[in-house]
Amino acid sequence: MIGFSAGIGPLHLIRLVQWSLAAPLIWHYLVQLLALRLPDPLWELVENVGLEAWPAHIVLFAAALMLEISERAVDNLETAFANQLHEILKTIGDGIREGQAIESAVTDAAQGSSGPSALFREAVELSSDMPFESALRAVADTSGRQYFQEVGQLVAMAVNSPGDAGQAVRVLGTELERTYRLSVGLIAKTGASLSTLKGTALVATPPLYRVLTSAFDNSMDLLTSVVLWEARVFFTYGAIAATAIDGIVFDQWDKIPARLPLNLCLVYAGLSIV
Amino acid sequence: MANVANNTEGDIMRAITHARMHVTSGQGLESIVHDLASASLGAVSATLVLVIREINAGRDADQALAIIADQLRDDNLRSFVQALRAPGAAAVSRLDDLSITVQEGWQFAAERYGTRVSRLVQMSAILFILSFVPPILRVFERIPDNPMGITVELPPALENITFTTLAFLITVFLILMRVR
Repeated sequence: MIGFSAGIGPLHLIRLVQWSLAAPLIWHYLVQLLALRLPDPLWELVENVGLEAWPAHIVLFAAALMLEISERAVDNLETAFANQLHEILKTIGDGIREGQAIESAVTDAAQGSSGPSALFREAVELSSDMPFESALRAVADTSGRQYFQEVGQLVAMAVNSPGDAGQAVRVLGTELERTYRLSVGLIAKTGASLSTLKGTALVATPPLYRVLTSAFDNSMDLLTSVVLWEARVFFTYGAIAATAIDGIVFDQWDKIPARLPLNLCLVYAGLSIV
Repeated sequence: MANVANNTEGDIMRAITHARMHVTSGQGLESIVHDLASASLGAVSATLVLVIREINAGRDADQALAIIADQLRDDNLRSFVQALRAPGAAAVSRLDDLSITVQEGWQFAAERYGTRVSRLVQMSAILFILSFVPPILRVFERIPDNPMGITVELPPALENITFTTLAFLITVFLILMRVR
């Protein structure tokens, strides 16, 4: 994908909101898991609101879960955006081949009021003052969507091609769709094997470790059971590693604010169950 | 490949789409090389930067592409650079053929990478399960007359040593997932 552009898109705003919610959550869980003697503003806030310990924990878990759900929603929106974009390109190509002017073909193809349709319509509106390809390049540059920036440049080039522009745009839509689907399919396939590690590190091992140590301590008539600091550090590291693995394998580093709070929360809950 | 999302095959697939558009729009070879080099196409752009250096050294674009193509070890990347040298329709045809070859290769490489990641993941999962060892050993240490008859003397820093070792090994596996 092409580099960062000056355009600020909805995705940048979503990341900003995610980070502003994730940062205090991450800090809270690190302070709790590592038993740090440092201020925990988020916990102080929920206590000041008047919540008891259990409801407060549930509220924080819900917040971490919401971040993860928001990330899934973003993924779905991105896929829907790409699919719609590919379809629009193919329809535009067909329109041009049937003899329509580019602006008319785009207007017919981009019927929706959001996503790529809205961006193409914006380009058509701008094209009253400049050639369509320049208008599309301008819209793509300021769209804040990396994928549209790349595709917008290619469409502008295809429209300008001296041969059959309609055919060029249609082929572009088909090629982009094929590459996108291949890439998404491969990521999904590899992602399935990673869930083994995530499940072990986040959901299975911490509570089992806690139950095991607690059972041993009880069998020796110890009234209280404490999870060792070394174990807390290890499982916290596990949560961070399980988050980093998406970045390492898929280059999805931007998903950290959505995933790390929930991963830390699961480990914290697992080590606190008894 | 560096990872699933960022690899030479993926870069070439995107570069083919870009190159197709440039060729069909009737651009000159040198202009195409410059545009693709600045289009953030990963390994492809990096290769074409070398071509631009040759052009700046006084060679024409076709000569520069031929020189760099001879130096490339990656078959698909070499085929891509050579396809750019073909004139007009022939270039498009060669790019289309290469697209099919790369798609098959990409799938194969990703499956191979996925298998390796899967093994590393399984090893890491086993390391997590080994975190149960310290509390189990401590029980044998604390109850010398246990029914299994196992008596052990453990170093005071057992937990520290165990968890540090496991964390180190998991880090190694994570790093291995990244490297080709």
